[in-house]
Amino acid sequence: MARKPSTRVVLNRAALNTVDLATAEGLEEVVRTVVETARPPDAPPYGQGLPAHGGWLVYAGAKKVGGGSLDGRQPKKPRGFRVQGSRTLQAIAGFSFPGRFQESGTAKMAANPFLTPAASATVPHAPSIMKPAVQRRLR
Amino acid sequence: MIDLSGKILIEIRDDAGVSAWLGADATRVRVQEAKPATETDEGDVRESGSFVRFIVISPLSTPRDRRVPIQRPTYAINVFGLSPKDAMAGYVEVSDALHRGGVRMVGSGASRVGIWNSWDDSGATPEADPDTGQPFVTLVASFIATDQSVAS
Repeated sequence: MARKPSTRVVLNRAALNTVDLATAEGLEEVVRTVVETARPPDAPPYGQGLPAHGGWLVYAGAKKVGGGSLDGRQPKKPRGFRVQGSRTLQAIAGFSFPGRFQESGTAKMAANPFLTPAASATVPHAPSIMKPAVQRRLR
Repeated sequence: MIDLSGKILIEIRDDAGVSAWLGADATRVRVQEAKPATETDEGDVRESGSFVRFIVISPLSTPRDRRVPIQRPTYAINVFGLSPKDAMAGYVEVSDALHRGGVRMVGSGASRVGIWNSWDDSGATPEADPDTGQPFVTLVASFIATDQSVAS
């Protein structure tokens, strides 16, 4: 069952100024689009494989200001993802553990990349993806 | 559009540092997948205790710039070593080879392309292969290159 966003996210969003929040929401639309357009390889039992669990996170400085996943849960921040600075907006998108082996391959399995192509296809359109979210916040 | 995979394989394979790290296995640089075992060759993938060093280059994405003949491909490069420390040593050599490249022309004839730059875009940490347990590291390599041939 999907969990609601944590209260910590709401509190941190309130601390941001309007322009930063608008930009963060636009950025979240971009990473959400990357995850939603990615087509991870599936395997039996179809639709239940872990690579299907994609998610995204948005940070303003060290504060989490957005996030979500395909199954509605809030993903945890990966340990390798460093958040720092007070004026930096960062967003990441990814799929859960087995996804990286599909993306880059293993000793016995050729790579079957799905996330990088989705990111490459989405990033050139980032301004038009961000625009509605930014306009909604700044109107 | 010209595929850079083979050219990158040759560049990495022929790099002095990478070649020294690979040692007797200096030709074990592959594109897409490791060499499978045959009747006369055990291939790249071995069981624990008889690991060999090898490198696999996998294209991730090849976006093109609009209106100009430029491509910005990214590759996942898996560096398989004998131990986690050994895999990291191989990673350092591959990363250095990418950074040393700089502006250059590669290939010849109709497949001669210009590479503006190449770099290690990810860094890496060692981990174990899920099938064999062989230590390896994955790095993401990025390139800016022409997507059409360039006359000499």
